[in-house]
Amino acid sequence: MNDSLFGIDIVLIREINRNVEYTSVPGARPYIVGLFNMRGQVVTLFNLSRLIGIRKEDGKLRTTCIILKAPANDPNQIGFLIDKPGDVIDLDKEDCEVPPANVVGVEGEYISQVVKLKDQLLMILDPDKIFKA
Amino acid sequence: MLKNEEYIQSFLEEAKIHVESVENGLVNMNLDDIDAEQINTIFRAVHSMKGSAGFFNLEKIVGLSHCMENLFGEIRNQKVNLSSDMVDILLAANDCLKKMVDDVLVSEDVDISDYVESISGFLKSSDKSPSSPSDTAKKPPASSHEIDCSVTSIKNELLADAIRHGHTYYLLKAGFNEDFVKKSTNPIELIQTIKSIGEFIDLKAALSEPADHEEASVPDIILEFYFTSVLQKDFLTDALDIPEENIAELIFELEPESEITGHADEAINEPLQKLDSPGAGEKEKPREIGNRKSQALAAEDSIRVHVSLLNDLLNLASEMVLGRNQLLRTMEGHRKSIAGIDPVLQNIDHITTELQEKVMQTRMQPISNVFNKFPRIIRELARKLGKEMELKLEGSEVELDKSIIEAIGDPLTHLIRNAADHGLETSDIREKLGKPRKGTVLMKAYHEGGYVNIDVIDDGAGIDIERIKDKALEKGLIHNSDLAMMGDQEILQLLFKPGFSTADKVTDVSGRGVGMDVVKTNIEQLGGTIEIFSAVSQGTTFRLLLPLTLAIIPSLIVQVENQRFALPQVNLQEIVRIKPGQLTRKIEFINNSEVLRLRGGLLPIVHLGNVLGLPRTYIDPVTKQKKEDKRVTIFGYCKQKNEADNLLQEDETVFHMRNINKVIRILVIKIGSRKLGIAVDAIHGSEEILVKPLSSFINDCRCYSGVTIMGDGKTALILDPEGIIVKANLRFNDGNTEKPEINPEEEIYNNIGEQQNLLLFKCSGPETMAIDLFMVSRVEEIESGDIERIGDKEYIKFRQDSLRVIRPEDYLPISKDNSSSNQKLYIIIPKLVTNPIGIIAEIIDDTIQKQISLNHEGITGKGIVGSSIINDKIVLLLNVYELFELADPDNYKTAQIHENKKFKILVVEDTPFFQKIEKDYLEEAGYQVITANHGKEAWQLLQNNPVDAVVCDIQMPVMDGIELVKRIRADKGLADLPVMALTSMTGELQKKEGLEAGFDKYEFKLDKMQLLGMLGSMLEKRRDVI
Repeated sequence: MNDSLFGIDIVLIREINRNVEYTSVPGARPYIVGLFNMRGQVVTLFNLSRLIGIRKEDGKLRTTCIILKAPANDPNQIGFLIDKPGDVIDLDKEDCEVPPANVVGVEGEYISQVVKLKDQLLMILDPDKIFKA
Repeated sequence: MLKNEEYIQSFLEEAKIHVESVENGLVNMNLDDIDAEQINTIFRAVHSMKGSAGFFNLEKIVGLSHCMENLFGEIRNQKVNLSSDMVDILLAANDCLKKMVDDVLVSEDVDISDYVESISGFLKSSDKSPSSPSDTAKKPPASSHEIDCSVTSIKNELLADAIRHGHTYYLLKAGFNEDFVKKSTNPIELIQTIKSIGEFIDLKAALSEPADHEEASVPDIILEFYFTSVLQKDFLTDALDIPEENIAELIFELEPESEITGHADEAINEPLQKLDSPGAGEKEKPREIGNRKSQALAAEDSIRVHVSLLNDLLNLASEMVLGRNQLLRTMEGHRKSIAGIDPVLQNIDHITTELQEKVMQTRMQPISNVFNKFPRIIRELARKLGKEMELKLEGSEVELDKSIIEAIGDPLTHLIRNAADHGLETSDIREKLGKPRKGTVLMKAYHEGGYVNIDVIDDGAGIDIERIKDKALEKGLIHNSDLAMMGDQEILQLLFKPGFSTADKVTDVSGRGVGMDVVKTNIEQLGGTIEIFSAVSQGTTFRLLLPLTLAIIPSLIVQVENQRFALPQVNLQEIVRIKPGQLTRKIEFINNSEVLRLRGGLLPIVHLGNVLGLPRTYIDPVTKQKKEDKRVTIFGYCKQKNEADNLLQEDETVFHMRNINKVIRILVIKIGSRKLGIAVDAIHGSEEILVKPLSSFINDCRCYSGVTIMGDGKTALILDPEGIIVKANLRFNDGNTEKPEINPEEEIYNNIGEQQNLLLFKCSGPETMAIDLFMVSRVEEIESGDIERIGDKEYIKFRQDSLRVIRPEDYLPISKDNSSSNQKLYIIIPKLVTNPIGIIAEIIDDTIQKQISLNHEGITGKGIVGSSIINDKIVLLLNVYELFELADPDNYKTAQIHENKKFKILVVEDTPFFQKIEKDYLEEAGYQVITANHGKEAWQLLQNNPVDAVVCDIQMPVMDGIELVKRIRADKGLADLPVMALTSMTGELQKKEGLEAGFDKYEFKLDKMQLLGMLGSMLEKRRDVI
């Protein structure tokens, strides 16, 4: 997303959809993109970049979407709009590190860990925080 | 732990019902005139409860219910008179029972001694030796001559259970002396033996009649052992060492489970009576059987189903509705190409709708379930507060969804308490005010427009607006400046603010300053609203408006800026369409607020897009690009257009061009007594939608009440009109809330003017046609074989005469399907025509009364007035005259008499359909026609435009025809203007009235020949005069 890499624990992911047709919600908080229908269930779509405060030049049609598994007792399904899905990778614990001290503010809030990949850093999102948003 | 835990659930359910019926019975009891049947009902309920509780070893419940039962037994036998104190104690005891039943596991720890004592006290005081409950139950059976028969009922569950397991029910008789003393055993041992082979049920003892014995010297105690066993009779003889003739097989009828406890006694007593005294048994029998039959019938009528199953059903049905919507939408395009799919779809459509309705009904419960507890509450309040009051209940049979029924209990209780505490004055004050001493609280439930309303009305002091104002200021809930702007209704709504209480003194009944806001929140959670009406010293009405159900609602799909929203139809009153340039209906301004004049009232208008904060866009007519609309007010162009007209259209701007053909659609919304108009861009028709809850991330937007998935699989937000009012910052005060209808006739009158009665039918093609019912004389059903062909024309026999019939598809630009071999056809016979011709229709769809908006442009052709959307379908309105002209040019040839001199005719007609037809007829005949929608408009037109004649409808909104003609006659310049009434009111009386008012002619809608003839003669006359 926006040249940064983000990661999320694959166990938490329900599915990845392309070309979703969503309905926007006028009057809602800015990071909410809209709602869409996933086989009878209404999923709230988040604009992840707005949520975690990365600047993002709009214009590109981003309709790839990750839908998270909702906690069992939570009826709210949520999903993110992303630029494009990358790979599924296995990570070693050693590569992970808590966000460095200078990552603070909104950005830091949603990131649980940072992974040092070979050529890039990968930020692992903390879905619990997002659910609480 | 409890015994027989698997049955405890059904026991509890049953016990709750019993407790309730005891309570209702007691509360409704009229102490002066005790109804024996009522006492009996209570007695039976207590008794059954005791019986089943015994089965579970719930001793406390047994104990308490037993002593209650004793008292009721005495009352039943009229040995004790039921007093008011007694009722109070019994109610308290019943409450205790209720508590124990609610929490059955700890029921053994509840202290019931107080109740038992006081109830026993009543028994003692009536000189009847009381039998303390535990005593009776524990009395050793052998030592009593007659065992309290009620004890058997405790055992009865056991018996029924045993029999269900394949046991046979036996009665063993043994003489005490003969069988025990002589054999040197005792009954206890026998019982032990019986227990080893089966289930011991009961023991009864009786003194044998001496006559039974030859010697007649030694009376013997005959012990009757009731027991069950899987063993056959002959084996029993061996096992128990008792002669076979002493053992009798008894028949115990298994009754439906729920009935067992209630009537177990009879079941057991019956065989006993038969054995002991056949005569008495016979006498009892017919009644018993009759009873049982009716019980069996009742049991078959209903079954118990778990609520969760019902909920699942409801969900599935809802999904099914969605599926149906999707199916219908996808198949829409293929209806024609796949043969036979149409009926299948229709069938599925109907069945799904019905299924859903039925499933909804299963969850419906009468509101009496909630109402029934209020008499009790009022009774107690009356005592606590020392006020005399009574409660009246109305509409207890109104049904609501179970979840709503459950949720309104508390709010209603609160309102009742409020009414009793704050509302009603004390009896003395009431007397001084000349009111009856007894205050009345009326609870009324009734249906209104898709909602169920519940009114809680008291005839007390009413709410003092000034005091609310003071209180609100004092508590800092509101600023003085705001208060000045608020209407009465709004001030009353302050009552619902948290932390508001007007009661001067705080009592323990109500007035703790919390509550009313909770009531409001609760009701709003259910999708309902609450209103207050109050008149000082006359009383207060709290009105709850509740939706019938929560899950599926019909709603209107509207569109704003390419986004669709669902608006619940319950709130929708009507749809107003405003065409630019229409003189009568336009948006007017008060400062910057837009309002619409609607039937004499002003309707505030908001635009949905503005409320929701959607950027307004428009398609630029030149570049065809979307641009943001910079206008401040949505209806700016209305003003623009008028100005442009005044400027002789010199300065016709792009701005103007863009909007000239745009139509505004305004949804008139009514919530309770508040009305507003919401302007939208497009209306897509109505759909049944399944309401899904809004995710917690966006439920801070007050404009939405939920979200739904529509037929095409897209999501749409459901609008909450209440929220829109809040968001749009609309303040309603008494001025623009709807006044109680002072003149309902007028209202109806207006509606008649607006609505049209249409007969919808189909010919061989798929198109739906409509014809105004005014023009239909009758509809005949015929067989297709009845049609006879003469030349190229078809005729049928009708009333001993031949009637020409035509098929509209032969003459109109609609599709024709020759293959259809429908045997049954319908002939629509028009009225008020000189040469009748029947119209053949294949299917008569419906007749509807509806306000329709006619589209003259979309589908045109000779014989068609225009098209309209009715129930989501395009309907073509037929012009019967043009059709007949096409079919029979000879008879319907229009005489072009006035070719040389062009007369100008003013047609005043409110129904667009007739307006169009009349205009067409007249123009065709060579007249010049101007039109007006109602009397007032016509009058204004008459001031500036000279006309030669007026053709005028009678029933019209704003100003009717009678009024108009009176004005014309009163005006100097217009007095001799020929005015002709053209109306659908075909009564002689109306005709007389019309002619008296000043019409020259009074003609019925709508015979073209007559109209033209009359008009011609009228004009002729006038020319002669001049």
